[in-house]
Amino acid sequence: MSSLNWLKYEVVLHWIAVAVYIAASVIFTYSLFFKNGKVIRHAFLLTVIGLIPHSIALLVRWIEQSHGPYMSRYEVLSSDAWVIAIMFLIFSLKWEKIRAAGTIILPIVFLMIAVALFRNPEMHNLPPSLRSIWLVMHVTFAKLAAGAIIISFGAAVLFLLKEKKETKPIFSKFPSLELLDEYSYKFAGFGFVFWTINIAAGSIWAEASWGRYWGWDPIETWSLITWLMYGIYAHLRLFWKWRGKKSAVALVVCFVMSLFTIFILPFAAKSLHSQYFVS
Amino acid sequence: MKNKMKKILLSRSTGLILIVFIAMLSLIGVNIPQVSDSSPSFINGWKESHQLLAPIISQLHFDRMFSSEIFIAVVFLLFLAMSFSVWNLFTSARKKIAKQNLRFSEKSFKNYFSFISQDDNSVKNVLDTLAGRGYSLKNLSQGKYLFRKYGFSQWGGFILHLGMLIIVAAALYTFLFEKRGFIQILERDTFFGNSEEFLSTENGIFASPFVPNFNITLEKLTPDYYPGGNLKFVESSILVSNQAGTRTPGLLSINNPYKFGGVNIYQSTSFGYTVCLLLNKNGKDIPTYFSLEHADKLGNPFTGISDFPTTDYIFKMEFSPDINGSSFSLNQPSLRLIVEEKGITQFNGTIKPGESIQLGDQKLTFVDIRHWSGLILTENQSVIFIFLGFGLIVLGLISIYVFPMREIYFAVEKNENTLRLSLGGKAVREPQQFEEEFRSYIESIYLKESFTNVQSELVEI
Repeated sequence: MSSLNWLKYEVVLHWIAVAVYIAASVIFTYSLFFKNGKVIRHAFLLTVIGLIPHSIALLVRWIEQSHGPYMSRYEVLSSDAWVIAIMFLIFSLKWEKIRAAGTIILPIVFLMIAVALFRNPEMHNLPPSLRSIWLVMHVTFAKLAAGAIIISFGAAVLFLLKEKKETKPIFSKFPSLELLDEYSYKFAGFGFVFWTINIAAGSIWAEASWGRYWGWDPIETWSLITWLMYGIYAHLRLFWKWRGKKSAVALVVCFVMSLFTIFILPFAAKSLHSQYFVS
Repeated sequence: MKNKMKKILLSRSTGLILIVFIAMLSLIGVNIPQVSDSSPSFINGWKESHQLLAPIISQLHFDRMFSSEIFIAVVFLLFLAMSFSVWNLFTSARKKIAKQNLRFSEKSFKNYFSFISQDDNSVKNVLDTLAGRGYSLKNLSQGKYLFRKYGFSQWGGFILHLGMLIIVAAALYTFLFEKRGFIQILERDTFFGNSEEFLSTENGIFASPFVPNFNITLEKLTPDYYPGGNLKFVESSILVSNQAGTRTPGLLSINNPYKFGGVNIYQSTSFGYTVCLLLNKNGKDIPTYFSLEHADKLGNPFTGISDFPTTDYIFKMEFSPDINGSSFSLNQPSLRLIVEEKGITQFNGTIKPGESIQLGDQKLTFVDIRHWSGLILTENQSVIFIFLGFGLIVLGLISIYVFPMREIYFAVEKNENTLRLSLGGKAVREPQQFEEEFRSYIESIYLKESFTNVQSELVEI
């Protein structure tokens, strides 16, 4: 089958995934607003079902172009969304109460794929400098970091919503404020770990490829600044005892910074990284 | 004064302020064109459009921000502050680990549970439950037990900051002593290791001139392309000769550097063909080499524009090797050449290797064509420490966030025929999640036991 035919199937599979994720988002929201705890399982199941066409679409692309999904906006956004959905499911299995964050996370997931679908899905060859195992590590951990950060953001937003109108019955199904606060911190911590490994892997790759582990490229610099911001957030929590609202707001600020670094800057700045995010 | 200075450096606020300061300087650095990665014409254009700002930027050396005195000074201060902080973290972690206090009361805990049991196996059941949940006994005295899980995470903060300190130290070393140079080398040609042979260098502030103590001869450059014509791979086959004259063959490609005598040799993505032209002027031969850059895709010609030394000629060249069949002369390499002199075209046509053309009363011969390869040479002993630092940071972060420490105190009091058992637990990080865990331990103990007189359960303090 020609690449063009594969591409058609892949786009259709992506749209199916979007439709299922939208349904899951609606049910997540319904379960919270109508206090129907059983329904949240259906939303969870729908997310799993949505992952099937999504995974097949990415796998087909991977096989067809002989490299992972990290060469164009289309595949970067779609694969990031996939990682976020997978991480959300895994974490939800371990910490059941985090499922409420699906109301925030699933819309982010389907919006990312929808935005990707309006980009050029053309396949690209890997340039010589990208043919490295360290690139795979670098990209994998960047995606994991994005997933953990979005989950922590989801928990922080739920905290802020609940904290503002705690008395309203809508919010009674949310986990307790203390738990939301702790989850947001915990997942920010995971994001921090993954972000560190992402920077380290990128640095090792840069050393092997260009003979320098750090080049002050705009995205490298912003990535460092974002990492430092998460470090400051951790210190504020631990030593200045920032908890609750202050901590959630600080986390939202960190999230905006990471969003800028991961999703906006590569498309806007003249950077060594942006040439690989071809449109 | 000394103590005050030490106090300021030790303060967490100082560390955070320095980090914020570095972040701000970095932001300035990425938003102002840097001399190291912008062309002189771009820099001049920027200066002309920012006439107020440009002199201040130049004065502060912010146009080479990451090697500027201010930036290095701030990084150095951070290094000092972190050194103190790392020492503090080490002593505090040591104290915390050593602290195995068995004096406790129910008021010490948010999570506290106490009950009366008549079964002598109760104590064993509790100990088994805690052992099964990964807790290890740290202290035992007169019926009082201290259990700990993930105690090693107390070292997390120290390990994390030690990693950062090592990275900052290695980065400072790089700023000051790294040696780095770029060479363009022709096939069958030799780089003799002189500092003047580098096309460009980026050495640290205190680095001596870069003089590798070996020669490099480029045997062959091999580019490879994808079926669509995009570049897939570039490999240089080299011969390295040390001062004793021993020749060692080596292969290097992008992402696979070659190491020799403490110097790393990297393949850059910059490569192409060198055209050798010979101009016979007044009976004298003037040979000149023109380096042409490779095109984005296979099939497109290698191009270049250059003046011809000692003449007014401007040469515009498009070289097509025969390998792709797109040569102007079928299956043969050919050079499409336009020669201009003071704006007037003197020649516009195609020549093949070995052919000559007439330029006025002078003869121009296309003598030779060879590949050239762009190689980057670096000497920096600190790289291994950067990676060691990263490893420590990751280790520290994992121990902090993935394995937060938990402590459980267990006390047994004997009263005639009964036992009073008390359990108290605490976790500094994630107390809410620990509360749930603690509850599950108690439930687990409940399932094993039939207790009487449960005194209190998860008392809020």
